[in-house]
Amino acid sequence: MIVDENGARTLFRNLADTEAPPARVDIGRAIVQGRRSRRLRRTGAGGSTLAIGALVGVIFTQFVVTAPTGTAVPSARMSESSTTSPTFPSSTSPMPHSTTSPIASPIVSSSTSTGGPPLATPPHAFNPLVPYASFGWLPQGYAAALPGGAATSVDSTSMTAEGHNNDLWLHVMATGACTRSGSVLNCYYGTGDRSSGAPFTGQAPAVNGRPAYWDSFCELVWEYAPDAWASLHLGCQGAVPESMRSVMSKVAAGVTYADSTALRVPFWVSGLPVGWPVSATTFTDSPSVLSAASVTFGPPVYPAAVTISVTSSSAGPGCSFMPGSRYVTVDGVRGILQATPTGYAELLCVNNVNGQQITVNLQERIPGTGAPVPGAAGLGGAVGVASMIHLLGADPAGWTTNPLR
Amino acid sequence: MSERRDAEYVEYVESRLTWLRRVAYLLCQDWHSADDLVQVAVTRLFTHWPRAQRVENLDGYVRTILVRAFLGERRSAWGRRVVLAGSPPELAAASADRDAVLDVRDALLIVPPRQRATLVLRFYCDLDVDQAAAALGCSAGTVKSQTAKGLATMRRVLEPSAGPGREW
Repeated sequence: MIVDENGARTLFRNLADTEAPPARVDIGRAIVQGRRSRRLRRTGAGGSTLAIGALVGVIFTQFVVTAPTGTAVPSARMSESSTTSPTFPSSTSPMPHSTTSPIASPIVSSSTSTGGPPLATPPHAFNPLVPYASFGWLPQGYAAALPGGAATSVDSTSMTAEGHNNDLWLHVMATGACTRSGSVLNCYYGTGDRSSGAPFTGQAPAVNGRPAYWDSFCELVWEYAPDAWASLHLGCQGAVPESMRSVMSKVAAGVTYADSTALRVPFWVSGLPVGWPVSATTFTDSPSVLSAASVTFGPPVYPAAVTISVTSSSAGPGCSFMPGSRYVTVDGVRGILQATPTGYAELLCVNNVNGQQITVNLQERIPGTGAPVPGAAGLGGAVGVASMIHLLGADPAGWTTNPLR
Repeated sequence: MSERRDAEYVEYVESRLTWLRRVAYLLCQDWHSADDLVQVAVTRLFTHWPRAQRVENLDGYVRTILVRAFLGERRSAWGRRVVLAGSPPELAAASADRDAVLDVRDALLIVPPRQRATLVLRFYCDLDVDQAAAALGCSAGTVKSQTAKGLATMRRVLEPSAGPGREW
C-alpha cells in the first residue's frame, strides 16, 4: 500500500465510503440549542436582565488574537458581566470621539489617526456588479484577496479578511438598509430577511468622525453616512477583546466607499425570464482583477432564484456524488444533479469544462412558503439553466462586465 | 422571516448531512463520535445561520466549524480522556477490502488529531494548502509540515518497510 498523496486520497475515500449506521444527528435539537445560545448571548451581553446577567458573569470567553505586527498577544479573559446598561446618544449626526463608554477604551481616535476618506453619500440600492466598498487597510497577516471571499448585493457589500486566528468580516449597507431600534441595529440583507443585530454594548471611538459602537456580536458598528451603516465583525463571540479594538477602529477608518470598479464575470447567460436582474454576486477582492465567482439572478419576489458559479476546476473541491444524486449530461459533459429533500431546489455541478467547474443552483419554490418562484418552472431545471451559460474562458481579459444578455 | 430562515437551515443541513458525517468519521474514526461532532457543528451553524447564509462558500464555512470543533474537543479534558482505539470497529461486514480499510483506520488513529485534520482536509476534502490553512487557522507552512508528518506516520503503519533507515 503506497501512502503518497494520491494513495492517501484513495485510502480516505474508501474509508469514508464504509457503510454508516443510521444518523443520530438531531437537527431539531440543534435548532433549539442554537436558538438558546443566540438568546443567551444577546440578552446576557446587553445586561437587560439580572438573572441572565448573573449567569453570564461566570461565562468567560478565551481569545488568542494577533496583534497588528503579527506577533501573538497573550490570551485575554474577558467577562461579559462587566457590562452595565449603557445609554446611547442619537446617531443621526456626526459626533466627536467619546470617552463615556462603560466598555470601550478610547484607544485611538480613528478620524485623526488614519486621515480617512471623506464622507460618502451612499445610494439606497447598490449595483451588485460594482462592489460599493472595500478594505483600505488591514493588519499584517490579514489578506482579503480570497477566491470568492466577498459578496455584494443591492443592499450590501461584504468581504472577509482572513488572519491567523480571527477573521475580519466587513459589511457595508446601503442607505436605509438598516434601522436602529434603541441599542439594536436591524439590517435588511436582500433575501427577504431582516437580520436582528446584537445590542450595542458601548460607544466606540468615532470612525472618521461618524458615530460608532461596540456590540455583543464581537462587532464594531458605525454609521458611515446618515442612515447608512457598516459593521466589522471579528471572528469571535461576545465582546470585542480590548487588545483588538484599536486595530478594528483603524480597519474601519480605512474602508473605502463609492468604489467604481466593475466585476469581471467569466460567463454570460441568456434566456432567463424578463425581470430577473442580477441581485447578488460573490467575488475575489483582488487588486489586480476584481473577478466574480458567482452571480445570482431572480425576480423581486425571490431575488436568489438562480445562482451560477464558474470557477477554475483546479481551485475548487470538485463535484461530489451524494446519496440521491444522479448523473446528467450537459452539452456532452457529465455532471451531477442533486435535488434538495423538499424538492424545492436543484443543484447541478459540472466539473472540468475546459478547466472550469460550473455549478447551478435553481430554487424553483420559495423556501419556507413553498410558493413557486415565478418563471422558474419554465427553465427546464438546473440543466436547462446550464444550457443558457456561455463560458468566456480562463483569461480575465476576455471576461465581461455584463453577464445578463 | 424566522420560520423561512429555519426552513432554509433545515434544508441545507439535510442536504449536507451525509457529507458532514463522512468528514467527521474520518476525523473521529467511529460513527458515534462522528455524529456527536456533527451535532455540535450544526448547532453552532444554527447559532450563526443569519451570517452563514451570506457566506459565499457555505460548505467551506461548515467544514471549518466541524474541523475546529473537532480540534477544540481534542484539546479539551474530555477529548484527552477518550481512547478512540478502544472503540469497536464499525465497518461494513460485506466490505471486500475490509482488512485494508481496517489498516487505514488503525493508521489514522495513531496520527495526532491536528495532523489527521490536515490530511482529511487535503486528501478527502481536496483543499489546497492555502485553503486547508484557512480552515485550520494556521499558516501554509504549518499545513505542509503537518501533511508530511501525518503521511509519514501512516506510512510507518501501512508500509512497514518505510522505516527511518529506508533508502529511497
